[in-house]
Amino acid sequence: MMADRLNQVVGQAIAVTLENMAFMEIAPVQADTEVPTSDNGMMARMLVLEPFQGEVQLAATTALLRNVIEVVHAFPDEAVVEAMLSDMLGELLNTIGGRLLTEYLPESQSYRLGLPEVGWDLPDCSEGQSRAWNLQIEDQGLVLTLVGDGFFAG
Amino acid sequence: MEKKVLIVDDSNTMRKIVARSLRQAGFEFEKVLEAPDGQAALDLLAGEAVDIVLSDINMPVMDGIEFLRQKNADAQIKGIPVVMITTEAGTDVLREAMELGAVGTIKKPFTAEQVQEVLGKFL
Repeated sequence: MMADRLNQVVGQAIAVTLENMAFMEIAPVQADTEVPTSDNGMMARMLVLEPFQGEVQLAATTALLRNVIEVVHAFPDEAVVEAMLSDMLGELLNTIGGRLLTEYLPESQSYRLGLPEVGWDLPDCSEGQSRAWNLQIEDQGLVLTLVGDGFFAG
Repeated sequence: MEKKVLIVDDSNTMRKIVARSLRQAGFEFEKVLEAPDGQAALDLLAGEAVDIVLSDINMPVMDGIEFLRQKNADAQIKGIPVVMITTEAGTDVLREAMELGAVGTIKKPFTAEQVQEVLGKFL
């Protein structure tokens, strides 16, 4: 039951964020989806500081990030550089993570998040249970991972 | 009368999204100013009068809460309305922002309609 609810909340958080920010729809990952790796994508992570210790991670292909940037910036007046890719991935993570916790935690429950940290290949230093959701947007992969027992308690 | 707005967010992406949503919501501004954190916003407000500020909460250098405190301490800019744009809906920090005088909140991810609903009360 808890896993079903987490599935629903994660799916909604990603769907609403991509729709509102970039007018894009998510779909289940397919066999030909380009999955983000350290060669073709970037990764971001954000600590959950309260009410439990955890982490939300988001990985996306640079092709997907470029597509989102083109929508958000309409007509970018400069070349899409690494700083723009990092900023976009960090903001996607911040928005998805906040939405996810708002929906998942009880209504009166406060939470506190760290600032997103973005890189090409961040080291894995998280502890606790984890679970990943693989999705695609316009044939490009997006992977959200939740780390920390607090996400799976109950 | 044409108005000026200041968007405060450490994410360049989010500043662009907010500006786009303002246009989509039908608001026309003489000038759309941007700042990456609360300190930069205060520096900017020292030299430019704006009609409304839209501010994130969770930012490096100076967050949105400290920005509200410092703005309230400055008689010249104390009266400028500030709307918080944040993921942290329903949290203690948002309650603190309202106690410090924030006039409204917009929860990320937002639509142009939601922006219109909140800002329409002040513009």
